[in-house]
Amino acid sequence: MDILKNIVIRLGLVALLFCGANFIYNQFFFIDFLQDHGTLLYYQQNALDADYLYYSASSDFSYDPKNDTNTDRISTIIDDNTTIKLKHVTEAGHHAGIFAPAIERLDENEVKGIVIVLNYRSFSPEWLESYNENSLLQSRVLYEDRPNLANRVLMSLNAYDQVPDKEREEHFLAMFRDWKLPLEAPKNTIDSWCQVEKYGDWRNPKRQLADHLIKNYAFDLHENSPRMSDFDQIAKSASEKNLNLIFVIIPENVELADSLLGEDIISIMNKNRAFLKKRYHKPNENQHVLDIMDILKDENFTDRDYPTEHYNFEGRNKVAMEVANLLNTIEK
Amino acid sequence: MLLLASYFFYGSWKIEFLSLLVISTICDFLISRNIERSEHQGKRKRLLALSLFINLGILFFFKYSSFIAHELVAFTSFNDYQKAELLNFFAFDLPVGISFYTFQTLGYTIDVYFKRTKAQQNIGKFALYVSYFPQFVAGPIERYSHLSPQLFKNIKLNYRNLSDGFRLVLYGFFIKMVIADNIAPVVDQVFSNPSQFDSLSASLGVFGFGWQIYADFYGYSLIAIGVAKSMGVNLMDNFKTPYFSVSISQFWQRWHISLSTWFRDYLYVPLGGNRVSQGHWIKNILAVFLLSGLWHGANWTFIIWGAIHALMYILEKYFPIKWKRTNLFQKVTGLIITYLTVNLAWTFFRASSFESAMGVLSHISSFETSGESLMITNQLIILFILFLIFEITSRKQRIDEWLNNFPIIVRWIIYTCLLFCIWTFAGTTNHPFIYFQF
Repeated sequence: MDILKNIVIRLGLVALLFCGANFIYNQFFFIDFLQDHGTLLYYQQNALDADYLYYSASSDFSYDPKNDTNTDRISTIIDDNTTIKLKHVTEAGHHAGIFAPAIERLDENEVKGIVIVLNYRSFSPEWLESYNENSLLQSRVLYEDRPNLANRVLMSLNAYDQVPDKEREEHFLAMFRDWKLPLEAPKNTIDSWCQVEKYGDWRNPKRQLADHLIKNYAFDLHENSPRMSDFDQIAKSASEKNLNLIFVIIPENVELADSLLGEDIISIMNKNRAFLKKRYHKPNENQHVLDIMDILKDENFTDRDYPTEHYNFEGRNKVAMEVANLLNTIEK
Repeated sequence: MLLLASYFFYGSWKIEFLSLLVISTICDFLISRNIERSEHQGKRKRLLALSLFINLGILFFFKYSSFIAHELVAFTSFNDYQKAELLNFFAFDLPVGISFYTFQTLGYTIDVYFKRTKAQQNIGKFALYVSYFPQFVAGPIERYSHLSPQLFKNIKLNYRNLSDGFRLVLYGFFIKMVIADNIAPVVDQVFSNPSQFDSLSASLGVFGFGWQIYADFYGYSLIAIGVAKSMGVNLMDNFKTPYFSVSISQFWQRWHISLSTWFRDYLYVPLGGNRVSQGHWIKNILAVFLLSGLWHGANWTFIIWGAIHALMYILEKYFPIKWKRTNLFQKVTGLIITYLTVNLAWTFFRASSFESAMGVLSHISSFETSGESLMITNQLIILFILFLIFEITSRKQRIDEWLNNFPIIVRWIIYTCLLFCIWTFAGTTNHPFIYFQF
């Protein structure tokens, strides 16, 4: 009994020390640590004076280095063209799985609303199992709704799912093989579709591009799809915290996909867009889906060898104006 | 209960490797009992040879077959695809702790053979000696005569043991998570691209690794010793401020003590030790250090690392610094030479290849002033100084005993400081314990 009493007293002391340490950490170390290891939350913390927060990956800030004279972010253009104040919370490669816990930390009515880039490609196997995912999951530990020092400790104890690159590769290869597509064979899986594309052998750039487009755009969304729960969580958080929510299905290179793969890929993308709109567009509940997936032309996309959401200024401006118009309508 | 806990601990990593441990345990249990029962010297030798063959065979297969395959495949006429297929066949996961528990069981069998200890008749107790979880994965490599009496008595929880154990674990986590894991990214930068940095920065990276591996392995050892201590089991100390050594021979009395004494007692002494001719003695030293290098890993760099230590050990015999307690100059000279030798040898230990190690060393010796400077934060410098203060002030006692010299208020101030450092400054890059790879 004496041992137990001594242990309990000391554990209690350690718990008290932890509370004190958490206070000191928050005051003197937390922000600097976030700047290096949790940049998304760092941006969010520094943007709380805004009316709307804009969550995105690199689509917000990438530009055409050869031809763009104006390198303004999409979020900056939106801010310049609305009556509300909008600030970006953007970081390359980030997705809804990382946005969700950060948004969970917002207090009720802390901002008026949030704009989330609903990145279509973030549902694809290669993004779900990207080699970047381990470092994203590491930073995600810092965003969980726990005492900041507890998150810091858990991060240093590697309390997140670390999957070796080889295993990630096996996962997405399995998805290419096993995921069913709503098309007739041989286009009913990603793998088999890639085998039959008509551009000749693999050294042909068109063949490679067609292959990339299939792997990034061809999947059949349903309520149990990976990543769906992250968007569900964001919608739930927005509702609970009384925030206006706008999901933006940002432009993909639909023109290129159509020219290389035809109606098959377009039908899949349209089916998925319709699913997302049906699931999340609830204007009566202050939740909107802005579907602008096909508003840009192939020439607006800066990356020519692989499908991304990187636009030149004309593209960024078009996207920004669509979002700004919707925001102005909502906030009228 | 303790045996089940130890098996669960090991099996939770990979259940199939638990079978290797069980095979090794059963073999040595049966062989040792038969060695003890047999009066016939020839039969005893054959049984010992069988134990060596089985244990070292398993170790060799998992640890060295890939290395041998890599070396031999260069001489074949296979095409690249066939070579890759062959090397892939030998790319096994190394069972965690295999180098440690193999040596532990071999030591037991050899002790039984030389009648230094009686064979254990209870397989459960023997299995517990082999697999005792605090020290199983990366040592200390315990002798049967030291560990078994403690394990086989009733373990009662005792506040003093819990308290001492907590101190050891706390300090162990501090030096592993705060010191080693924060030095690691700095070292990684240098070893991945030494030519990117100026020579001073490259040398900081090399010496940084010396402290990283020390803090990493010493930290692990303290955690293992602390967990065992909390159960009333005293494991042997594995480190005694090795970087304060004034000679290589003294360094090896203070670094990874359980391994160096194992090699001394089970290889060096049976080979004749230093009671042989000079030439024979040199061969004994080379055998011990080259095998010690090879024990650490299947790569020529580890063998070279061992060879450097062997060479210095031999040179010390022929050019001894006969230091006296009062001769500060000689002590400082010896300390500097030893420190420099050990840390330059670590370059081969850390590098992935001979060429890579030579690349680092040649870059340092070029005294290159152009190139980037290594970014070392003030935070890391302060933490390292704190670590050095602990090392210097506690060098004559183990940390748990040293802390007993202070009143409770001071102890709790020190605990608070250590806990705060662990919670706030622990490294965030993924760096497993270095010695787990052996």
